[in-house]
Amino acid sequence: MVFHIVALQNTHDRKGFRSGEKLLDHYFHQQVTQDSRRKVTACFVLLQDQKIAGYYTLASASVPLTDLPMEMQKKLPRYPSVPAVRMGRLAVDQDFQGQGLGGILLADALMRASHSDIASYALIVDAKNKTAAAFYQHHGFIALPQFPLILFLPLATAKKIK
Amino acid sequence: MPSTARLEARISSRLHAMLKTAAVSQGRTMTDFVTSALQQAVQQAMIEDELHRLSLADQQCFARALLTPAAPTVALKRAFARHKKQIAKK
Repeated sequence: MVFHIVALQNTHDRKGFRSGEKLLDHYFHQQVTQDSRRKVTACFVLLQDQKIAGYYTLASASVPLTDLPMEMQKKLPRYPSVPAVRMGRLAVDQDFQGQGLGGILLADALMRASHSDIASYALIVDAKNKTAAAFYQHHGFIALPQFPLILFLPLATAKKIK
Repeated sequence: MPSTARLEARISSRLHAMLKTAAVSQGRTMTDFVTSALQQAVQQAMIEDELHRLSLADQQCFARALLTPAAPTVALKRAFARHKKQIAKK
């Protein structure tokens, strides 16, 4: 099956999208266009023909590392804050689940963050629950010790894939 | 805790009029409009706040991973391979 991934447009039919996660569906039906208009987040959709099979959202973020000793900060690409991309949401429609499309969306987000004109060094994700966190860990994401539902992957890791 | 709570706020007549216009233009009630805007603002603030409250351990974990990035896992490589195969180039 061949899919396309494009930026969300008004002509896309969002109403029929059902992931089974109420909050992710509600956001996609009600909120996402407002956020896109205000440029808070960018939304990308996975399409099969004109049907939306999945979506994810990206926003820019920065990670303040001000508590680290200066010699460690200086080794970082930027300090005191490291620019990153945050994937706030990722969802796959029920009709398309179990086909590895979540992983494809994740790969797409990593490629997009890596090839962006705006430099960033990590993709940060917000996992809804432990199951979602396990999905990200399986793909190499590291959970923050104090916020186990926030995980990240250095973009340098993704760039090693040819 | 009861499942809903009440919030009252005094706003300028001008803002009230603008709110009404904006809600009508989207075919929503003012309550619905205010509730979802508020929810979004709160979520955004919480998300930003979290990253600004990272402990020393979180910061060390993040910095170390950035300085010595791990090799990609098998699952990640597989996801990239699937992407290459199944996503049409524009």
